[in-house]
Amino acid sequence: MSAYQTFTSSRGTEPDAAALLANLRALDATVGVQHVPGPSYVLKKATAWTAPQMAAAQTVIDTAPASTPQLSAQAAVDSLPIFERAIILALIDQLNVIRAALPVPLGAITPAQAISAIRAKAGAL
Amino acid sequence: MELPTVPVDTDDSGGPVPDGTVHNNAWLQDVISKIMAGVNKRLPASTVTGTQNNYAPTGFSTTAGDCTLPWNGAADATFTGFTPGINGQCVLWKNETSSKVAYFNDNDSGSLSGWKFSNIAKSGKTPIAPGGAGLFQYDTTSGTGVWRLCFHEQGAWITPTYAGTDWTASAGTWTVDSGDVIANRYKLSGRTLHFEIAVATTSVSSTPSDLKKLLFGFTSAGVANGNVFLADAGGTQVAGTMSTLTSGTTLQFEKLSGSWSTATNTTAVSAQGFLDVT
Repeated sequence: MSAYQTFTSSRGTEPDAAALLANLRALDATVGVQHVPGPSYVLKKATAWTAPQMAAAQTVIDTAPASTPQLSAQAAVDSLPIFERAIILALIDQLNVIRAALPVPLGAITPAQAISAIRAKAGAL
Repeated sequence: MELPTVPVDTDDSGGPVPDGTVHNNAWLQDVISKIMAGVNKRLPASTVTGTQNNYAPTGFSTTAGDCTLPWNGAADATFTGFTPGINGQCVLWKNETSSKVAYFNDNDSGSLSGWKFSNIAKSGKTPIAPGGAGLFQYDTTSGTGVWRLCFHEQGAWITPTYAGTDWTASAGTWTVDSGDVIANRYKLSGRTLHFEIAVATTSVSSTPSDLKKLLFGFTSAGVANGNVFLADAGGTQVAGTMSTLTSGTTLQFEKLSGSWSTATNTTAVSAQGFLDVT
């Protein structure tokens, strides 16, 4: 039986949705969040809420990083659609051909490294 | 009704009757009162609830003229028909409750021929919610008389009672618990169905192409498309699409590409729109 619990936070910023969910699911892998901009958060999970769980969830809500363009961009990078990943990785493939043909060849950039670099760049802009 | 004091000629004295005489105003007042008694008449408020077949409103008859029928039930009511009128006779049904709904079924076999409704939208029940009204006119031009709905304003939006079976998926299951429903309401105006649907913390058991929601008991008149916001398995909120097929009875929610992910309490859908229903 699912259990819902309403939380109120006095934080002055909106939390980054992805970070908030990730941090909450670190407490309980079945947690979901209902939230629209404002102080109220409704959390749902598979089992009844205990007092320690509620206290921990309240802390997560109050301290989750604020939403920023950089974090939002990183979340978008994490869920890139296939066609955008294809564009990026096709370019990386061509870049790897050039790197391999250099007088002193350079190692190939893996897809994971390429996406990670884009993610880091988004967070640093 | 206050009468103007205008000089009139009697038909037997050959001269004008002075303004304000008993002969002048009292007689006209009596005539007009008799006329007004049969026009714009407000019937006693109906308080019936539940299913009402062959409903006979108190005070209504073919000689009642055009009239207003207020309804003030303590619970919802569903009407399948009511006392036949005369051709052209109008009855304005008004919902005067604060929270209950009167539903009117189109051509329902629960009532006798000649008592039935012919609604504007026929695929579902036509609701009149608090603040709403429907103008029915009795029509015998096709032989058997029907109460034809000529004007309909639902009034307040309606949030149906939660039913988990309203929410399905093209494969596997879409579990939407009652606490997941942030908004699930509609308003019918004639044949245009307006709706608002918002759910969060829902679960998806498989990787379906579509998540589906029943269309509040109505049937789509044609293909309709619109935009939704969605979060697939806790992902970033992005745009998606919703659609209905001709004669469809569900709204289908789709991602712009790919299927929905399996999820436990992390899938959200938010949609507002309107469509033509039969």
